[in-house]
Amino acid sequence: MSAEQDKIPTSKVERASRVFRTSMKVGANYIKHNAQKAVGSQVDENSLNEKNAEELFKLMSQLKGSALKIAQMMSMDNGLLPKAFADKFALAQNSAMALSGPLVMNTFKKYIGKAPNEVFDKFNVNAVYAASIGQVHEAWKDGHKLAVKLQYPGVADSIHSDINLVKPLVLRFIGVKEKDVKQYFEEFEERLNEECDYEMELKNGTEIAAATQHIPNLIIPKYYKELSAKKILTMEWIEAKPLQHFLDNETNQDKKNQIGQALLDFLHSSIHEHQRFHADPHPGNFLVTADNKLVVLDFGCVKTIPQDFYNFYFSLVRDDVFNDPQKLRQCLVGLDMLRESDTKETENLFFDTAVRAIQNMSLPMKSETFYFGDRDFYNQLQTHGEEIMSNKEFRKPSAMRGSRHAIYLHRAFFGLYSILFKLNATVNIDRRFIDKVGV
Amino acid sequence: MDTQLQFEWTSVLDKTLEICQEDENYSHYSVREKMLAFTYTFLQTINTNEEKYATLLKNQRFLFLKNTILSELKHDFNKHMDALIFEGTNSGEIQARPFIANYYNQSVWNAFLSILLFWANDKSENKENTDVMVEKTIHFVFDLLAPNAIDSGLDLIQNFLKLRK
Repeated sequence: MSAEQDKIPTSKVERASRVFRTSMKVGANYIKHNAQKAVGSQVDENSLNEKNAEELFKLMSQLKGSALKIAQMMSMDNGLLPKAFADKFALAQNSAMALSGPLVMNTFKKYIGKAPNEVFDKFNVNAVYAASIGQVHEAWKDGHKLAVKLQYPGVADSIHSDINLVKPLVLRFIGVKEKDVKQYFEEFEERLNEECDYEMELKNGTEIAAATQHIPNLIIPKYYKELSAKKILTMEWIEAKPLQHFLDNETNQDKKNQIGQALLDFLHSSIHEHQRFHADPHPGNFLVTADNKLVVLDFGCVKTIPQDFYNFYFSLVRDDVFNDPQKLRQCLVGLDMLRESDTKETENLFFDTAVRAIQNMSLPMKSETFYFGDRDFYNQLQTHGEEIMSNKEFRKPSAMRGSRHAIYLHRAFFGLYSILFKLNATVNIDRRFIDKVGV
Repeated sequence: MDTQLQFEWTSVLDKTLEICQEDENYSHYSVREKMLAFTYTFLQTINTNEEKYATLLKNQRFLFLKNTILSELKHDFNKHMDALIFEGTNSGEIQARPFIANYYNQSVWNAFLSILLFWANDKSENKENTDVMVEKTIHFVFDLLAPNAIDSGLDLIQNFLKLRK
């Protein structure tokens, strides 16, 4: 039997005590740091961050489930956690915590009403792959190989308490009050809850597959509605290798460009044509087939952005908006980057930051083709968030701003650009959307 | 009245065993997995009439002491457990320890009873938390029954004393 199973802390008391222990350690690190500072020795902020990241990471990896998701999420959107944290979390491998055979049976009987053997021709009771909130089994039916994802029990239930446990820690790192970041945590919780709802994932996956079927070299597995339920998701099994494997081993640049192009088209098309996109583009969610096609997995995290947000955001790509101070200001206010209540000083500060952020994100959308392997461009993206973190001005409560919708949009773009950077890809950009936006 | 209630519980157990035996996977399971499957199936069976069984459990006091309503269930349960423990001892999954071994079925029963009580008060969707509880409880009990560090420790001491003579 799995030894890991015994270690998943599920009771709230146990979780709480872990969080408490970490808080104590983090607190101690701060004291140490300040003491070193007081005696005049040279300490850089980074070493403190790294130490704290280690503690937080230890805690998060023990919590598993949604806490791990939150951690990964914050490290994705590089503005929210410093680089030291992000690096640690990038290591957050979801170690296998297999459900016992009888529990697999039990889950099936509960949600489908039948045992797996009755539903499928053949079912492998041992999981072949484990993710943060579920595990994947192989199954066969009518000559097709299927992938069956089962969710760990109690995951959905613990999201709310997980967030409430992690929140104080995060608030301490960023140094703000709860009410200033309330909307962001609501956004996290909303997405996480959706992620635990496999019926929703099935719907999202099916819809986005239909909307993006015109894109070449892109495969979205077919979902089987009648074999799925809230905690069970059955889809077509596609023989392919993980994208990470492709990134590490492929040397043919044409092939890499083809994959990069498919990925960019997939996200651009869903963002610009449907305002509804896969908000979790990290290498673990993609596969590459032997004939060099991109397979998209996991539609658990799908974000829909409102039309007015979309319009304000992407209008900024237009030069005529960007270079017109009045229109630019209108957009930034619309995105909650500037507020009417701002003093001249704060306004200047945020204006510069926002403009730089947008310039970074939208640079690739300004030309017909773009080379993503450019290290300067990628570093710009990465360091920008750190600069924000290290600037004390941004630790003030009034600094917590920006529309909640931007979190997942940035996450998607950042994930996309990171993969494209690793692919060293040169891709064509479909810029038709620009004519449709404007203020 | 009591006999009627006693019968309610023993019939659930009979039905559970029946379902387990019919499952083609069951015979291939390890003893630990058999116990898990047994518990899940038992809960599944009482889930079909959740309100009734939950009320029955909640209305009982001193469940862990002598309880007449559940005494028949306990009797049958122990019989089933004895067989499982025997099987486990033969397969090496369970360590036969002098004296303590006689109380094995009692500890499994207590674990089972605590799961039942948890189930009766579980308000989570689809009683998911009970599933988590089942895994943890059964693993805990079977980890205690399995050969562990204490056994090797005792063995070491025994050997040490013997060689010192």
